[in-house]
Amino acid sequence: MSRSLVVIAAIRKLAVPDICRHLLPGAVHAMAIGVCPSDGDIAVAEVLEIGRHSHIDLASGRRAELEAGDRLLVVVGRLFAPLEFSCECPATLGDCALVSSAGAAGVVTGGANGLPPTRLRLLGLAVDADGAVLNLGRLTPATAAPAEALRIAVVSCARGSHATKVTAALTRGLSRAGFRVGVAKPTGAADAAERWRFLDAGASAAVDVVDAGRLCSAGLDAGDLMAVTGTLLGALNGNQAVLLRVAGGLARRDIRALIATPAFAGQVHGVVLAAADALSAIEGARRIAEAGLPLLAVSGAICRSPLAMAEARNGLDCPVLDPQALALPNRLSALLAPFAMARAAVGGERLLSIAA
Amino acid sequence: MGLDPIAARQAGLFAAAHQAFSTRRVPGSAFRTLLAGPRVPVAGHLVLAEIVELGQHRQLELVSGRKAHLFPGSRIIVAYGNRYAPDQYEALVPADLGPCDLVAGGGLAARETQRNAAMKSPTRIQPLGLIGDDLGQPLNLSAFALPPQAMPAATPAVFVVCGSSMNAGKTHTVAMLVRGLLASGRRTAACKVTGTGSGNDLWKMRDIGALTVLDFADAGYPSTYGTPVAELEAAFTTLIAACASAGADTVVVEIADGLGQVETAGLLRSATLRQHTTAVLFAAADPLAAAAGERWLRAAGLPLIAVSGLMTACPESTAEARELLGTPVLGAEQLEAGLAFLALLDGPRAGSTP
Repeated sequence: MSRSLVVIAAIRKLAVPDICRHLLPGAVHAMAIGVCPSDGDIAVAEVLEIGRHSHIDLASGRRAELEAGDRLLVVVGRLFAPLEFSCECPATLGDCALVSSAGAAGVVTGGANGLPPTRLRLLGLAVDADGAVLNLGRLTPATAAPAEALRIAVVSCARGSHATKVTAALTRGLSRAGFRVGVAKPTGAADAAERWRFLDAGASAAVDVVDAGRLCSAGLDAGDLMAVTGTLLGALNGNQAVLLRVAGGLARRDIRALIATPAFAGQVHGVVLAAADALSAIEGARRIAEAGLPLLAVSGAICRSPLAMAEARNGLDCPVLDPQALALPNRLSALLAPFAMARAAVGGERLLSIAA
Repeated sequence: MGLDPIAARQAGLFAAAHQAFSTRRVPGSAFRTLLAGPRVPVAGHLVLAEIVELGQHRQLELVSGRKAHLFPGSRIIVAYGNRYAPDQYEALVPADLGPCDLVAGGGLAARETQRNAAMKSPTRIQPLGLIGDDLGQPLNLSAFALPPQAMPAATPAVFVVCGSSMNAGKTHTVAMLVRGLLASGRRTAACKVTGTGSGNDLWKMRDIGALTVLDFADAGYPSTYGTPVAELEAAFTTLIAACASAGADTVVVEIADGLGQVETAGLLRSATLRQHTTAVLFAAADPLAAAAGERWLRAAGLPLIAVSGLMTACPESTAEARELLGTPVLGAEQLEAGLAFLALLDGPRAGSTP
């Protein structure tokens, strides 16, 4: 089959998912058929049969229902999501599966108990006015070197630690304290609901791997992850405080490697750990200390249980704080006050004055 | 004094009440008097109480194992005892017979001090009086306990299962271990030395076919929160000796809660437990907790042979744990097969290697 271009009828009716949020209006001119997809390519797909994902998160933030016959843009490629579907980039156009509500598609290789994935047919690859295939890697703006800001990493000890809740609470607390706050998630995959939660909590911007031109962080080594982190930090220039949400859990090899990178310690002023139980909080704290990172507090799912919090306090030198407390500027400033970083960072004076 | 033995008996007061599983060692014939008035209850005292308002616990497990539905006005016979349950409540025995809470479905009366955010208010109860003997002395579970025993000369093999927290998968690990040991021909008993009285786990071990199944209630405790570690060491010895008397050559002992719990940590660090423990299995909720547990148990000088638990329900967590730990991680399939333990038993003790 040879490559040819097909003009897409009713191109404006194609649903644009969250993962294609950097696509400029009118960027898709036609679709190429008779081509093989590569990782990160944007494809035009038709829904064949609804399965697990019966909706798509649109770039606008609206969650749209899907029905068989609907046409949408997706990004094909390798995705690893332990609690969702994992997939590989399809070798050819044709049948594949929708693997995330953010708009990732591929050939499912594992994951997700229960419902089978929503089935798609890839009709063609999206091309621009020059006939070049649109790829996620080409959509992202030029990278800038990260500017100075107060940077706090929110690291989860394990899945289910409520790190998103902790990050949202810190976002709220910092923005209430007068900071312009950005949130970056350099690991994992795009999750529109999570990004909007940070924006709703007061973040001026929330970025993830998609903003570094990637579908997912799977397979990246510590150096690559650090490069993604740098890109995302650069994209958040102009913010006075940046929260780095490190998703996936401290037990994961890539996360352990990232945390242990001196470059990571060089970019981060302090860490807030999200944990679900006392023992993993204590082990997480040990590993954060080993990496030479200051641990500001432990928070997360553990705070549902006063007894578990007490157990954690017995084994930790840092405060154990309910996520709600992190959303309060006075509690937050008390937390940051002992650290020189609060003074050094842009806006730190304001934070300290609230504490006084 | 509020002592009116005849009236209490004639009214059939006790016979009409639901007797909780936690008080199973006390025969109904021992309930002679109702001791109302100002009194100071202690852990192990039996109390006749009335349900005031239903909350979290809407059923009470009876001596038979049946779960009786409760309603406002239902009368129950339960034991006073402290509760330590990070996923549910902390509750302490109050200093009076005033209104308090039903803090465990197995039948425990105490006053809630703090609660997990996932829990509703506990079921509220009004004590009507302590239950006494003919002389008007309050009954205590300790008087109906197995007699204290020393460890027999032929000590059975003792497998201790402990975990990273409440609901980390200890009971499932115990169950599968017992299955594996029984399948290999060992005469296996199961017991639970610490925790809060509940029939669920005991019935499960019985259903699996354990030779005998005992818990701290058999050593005279309604629950073990607040019990001095020296007493728990004695209970550990008594329960194992009782299992041996029943013919067991292998005993699987579960220790409740996580390593951060005071009595759990105290008992695991005790010389008594260390001396009599053949092997330890650790159930963890997640891989980091497993790593912390491995370090803790090795520091305590305990022979840890395997790690399992809730985390092994997720293949990624299992893989992560295998990278983090020096101890074998038994996945769900291996546990289900019940046979994975046998290879470990025959091999050298993992815990004794550096």
